[in-house]
Amino acid sequence: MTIAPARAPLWLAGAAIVAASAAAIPLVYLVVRAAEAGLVAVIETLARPRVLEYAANSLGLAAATTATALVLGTAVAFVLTRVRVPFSRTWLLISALPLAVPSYLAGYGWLVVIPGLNGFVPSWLLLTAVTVPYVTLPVAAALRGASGDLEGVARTLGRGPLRAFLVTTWPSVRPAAIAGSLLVALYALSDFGLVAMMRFPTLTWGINAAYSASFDRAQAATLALLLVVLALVVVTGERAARRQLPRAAARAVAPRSVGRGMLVSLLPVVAVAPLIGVAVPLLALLSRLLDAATLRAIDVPRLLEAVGSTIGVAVAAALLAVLLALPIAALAARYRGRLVTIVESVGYLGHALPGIVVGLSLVFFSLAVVPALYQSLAVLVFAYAVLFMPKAIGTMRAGLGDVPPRLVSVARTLGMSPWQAWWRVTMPLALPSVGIGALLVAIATMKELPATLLLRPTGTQTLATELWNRTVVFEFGAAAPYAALLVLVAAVPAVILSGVRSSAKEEL
Amino acid sequence: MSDLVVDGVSVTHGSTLAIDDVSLSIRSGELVAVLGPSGCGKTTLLLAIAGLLPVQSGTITIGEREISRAGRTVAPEKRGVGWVPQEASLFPHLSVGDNIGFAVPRSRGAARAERIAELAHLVGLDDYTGRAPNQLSGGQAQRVALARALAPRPDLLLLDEPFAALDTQLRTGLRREVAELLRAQGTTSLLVTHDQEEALTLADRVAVLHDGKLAQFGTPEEIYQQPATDWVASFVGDVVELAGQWRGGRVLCALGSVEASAVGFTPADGDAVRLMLRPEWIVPRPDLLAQAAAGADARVASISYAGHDAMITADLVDGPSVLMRMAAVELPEVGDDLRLAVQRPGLAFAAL
Repeated sequence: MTIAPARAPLWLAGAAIVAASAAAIPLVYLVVRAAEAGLVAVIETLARPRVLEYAANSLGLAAATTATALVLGTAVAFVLTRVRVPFSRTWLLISALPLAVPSYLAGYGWLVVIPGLNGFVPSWLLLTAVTVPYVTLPVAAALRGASGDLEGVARTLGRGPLRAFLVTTWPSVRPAAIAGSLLVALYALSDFGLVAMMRFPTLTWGINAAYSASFDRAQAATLALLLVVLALVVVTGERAARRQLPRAAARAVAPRSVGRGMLVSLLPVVAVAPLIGVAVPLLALLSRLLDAATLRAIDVPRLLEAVGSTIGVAVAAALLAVLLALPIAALAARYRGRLVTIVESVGYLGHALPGIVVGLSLVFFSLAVVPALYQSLAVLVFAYAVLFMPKAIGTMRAGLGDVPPRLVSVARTLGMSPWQAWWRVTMPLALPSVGIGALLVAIATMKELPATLLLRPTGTQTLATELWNRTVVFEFGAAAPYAALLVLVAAVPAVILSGVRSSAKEEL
Repeated sequence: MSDLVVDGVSVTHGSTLAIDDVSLSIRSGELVAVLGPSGCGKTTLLLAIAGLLPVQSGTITIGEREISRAGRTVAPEKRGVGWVPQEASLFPHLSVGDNIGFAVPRSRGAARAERIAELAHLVGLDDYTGRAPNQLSGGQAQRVALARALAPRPDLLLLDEPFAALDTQLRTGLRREVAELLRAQGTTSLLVTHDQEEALTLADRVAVLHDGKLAQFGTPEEIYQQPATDWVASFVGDVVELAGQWRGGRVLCALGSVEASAVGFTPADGDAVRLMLRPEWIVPRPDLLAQAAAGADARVASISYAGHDAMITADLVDGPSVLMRMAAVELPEVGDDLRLAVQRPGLAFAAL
């Protein structure tokens, strides 16, 4: 018998509401800002041919990337779960690798190889390579979770292998495939670094241009609002699809052996995304880094400074994100109700907000509300916390939810106040999830580019911004050390973490 | 001292009334079992006494201190009530010793270590204090949970089916051990169980709960020999039920004219009643017939052998069959004719 959850204590609900309100600032302020400009101005801006072009480019890129990622990701997942592949776990890890590489790093690597790359096609192919794991991982999990017995039953009832798969297994895989594809769409809509390097004018690019080149803030705000609306539509769809994911695990279909020739022809399917998204860029980076001219020109103090500030803001962002996420996660782990749902959803807002939008909105916000903090590290760290808080909420909510309420009750009967019981029982048991949540935030922060570009204090450079500044002026050699260090401090921990905790893969 | 008084308590769990106007009074040092089928509300009652659920009406008092009433629940940590939950629920991040010493402040230093050692010794786990909970067997984990609950010297100890998850052999041994330990400590204890045998063998008194209501509260013997309702009669043990007619303190039925006492109603001569007997009250001993409540002839139809005793189904010459429980020393064989006597007066309940 479980102990019926009482209503959430006031202090917890209060703290969670405060945290959620903080997470809502960028979106709310953006709406306020657009509303100030007035509906007429907004419509006027939206009707400009340039804006229509940005929107069409964004949507086209998102649609094309989503389609290719869906097809490729499903194929990879199918091969990895249904065919007996040697070293299958290693292959799964390899197929997840592109998640650890920020899109602009892949873009940099390819520009090193082919400096003339630009426009839609390279953006599309590279984005696909980087985002395929968003489809591969959940679909592979769903395929492994789908009951093999059902497919067997369908076969014994006279269906052929394909019909049996479509009738029994596909329905339980479909929600995973849809949710994964929508994550790809969200990524493609939000991406700034890669499309900007490829000089493909999408909404994110347009927002940055409107803000930094012309300082046309009203136009930037309107574009940002348009982008947010698109992103929210995608995220709403993703959450709806996720709700349909089957929960119960079942006995899976055993992978079947295929001939060597067949295997050799299947492996390119699995390898293509890691090859384009990871191997080529990293090899290009390495060759450029080991170039004698590059090594001679390395400005070590400047490099160390960038490493220091990257790690510094990442640690600060992780702490703040965990602090904000803690009451929301604690509330969502134990209590139900409309308030809890709203608070949790608002906490997840950062998941839907493109980095450039958060950056822009917080520029406005700090200028208008707290001018003293404009271009300060505080606002930058706050932006990271809002953007990546969902990662901390997700892991911490799971960790806190896994602590049996009964243990807390036992502690109470042993003389502990609610606070003491929380401190001596809940917290120690949930600590690993808090640590993982903080690490996920730190890693994401180190890779973040667009919000950093807009919000960083003058003179402060992170590895990402240094890489960016040099790449856009085609100084690939000078960019190489920063790219290499970015891989070391951000991508490598991400891979290690995903190996430690397989369910974390999707969070990266 | 620390008598527990539950007075007219009702508790709602979700939207259902899980405990309905229950009153119990437990004397200091007594071991009381709360017995009932699953879903009867016994765990709810325990949680209410522990302060983990609020009461809807009524009061709960320990000694002079009122700890629960509608709208006012003294916090669990301020009640002096220990709780041993169903699955030991040890803190997985603490060693056995730290589990036992959880309620003893670290500031006590040596006194704390002493208390832990004392309790570990009490439950027979002296050498286990350095281990992690996941290195313990189920029985050992339950002992640690018991020691942990006893450490702050609670006024009242609540045990929620603490032996349910153990295998039969371990269960029998451990529960006897625990009951002895609790008596030796003089701890007032409330033991929740769905196991009739456990309740009857361990407890000083048994409270039988049925659908959230207190069906009977009495000594194990009272509960078994003089059940307050036919439901209690059949819940706490096997029954033989025969239709009959009331005739001046006896029931005329297939077993003859059986001496009986009416339970819960006053029958008039000629009224239809249901006679209830325990299987061991019926014995194949014609020599007893002179002083027995009644007797009849029967033939053995089947024998269900259970080692220490056996349940025999015997067809009465005129009509239905009855169950008899006999020590498995000299058992009859199927087909044997027996002369049955009823050893002691039966119970008459109103006909349905």
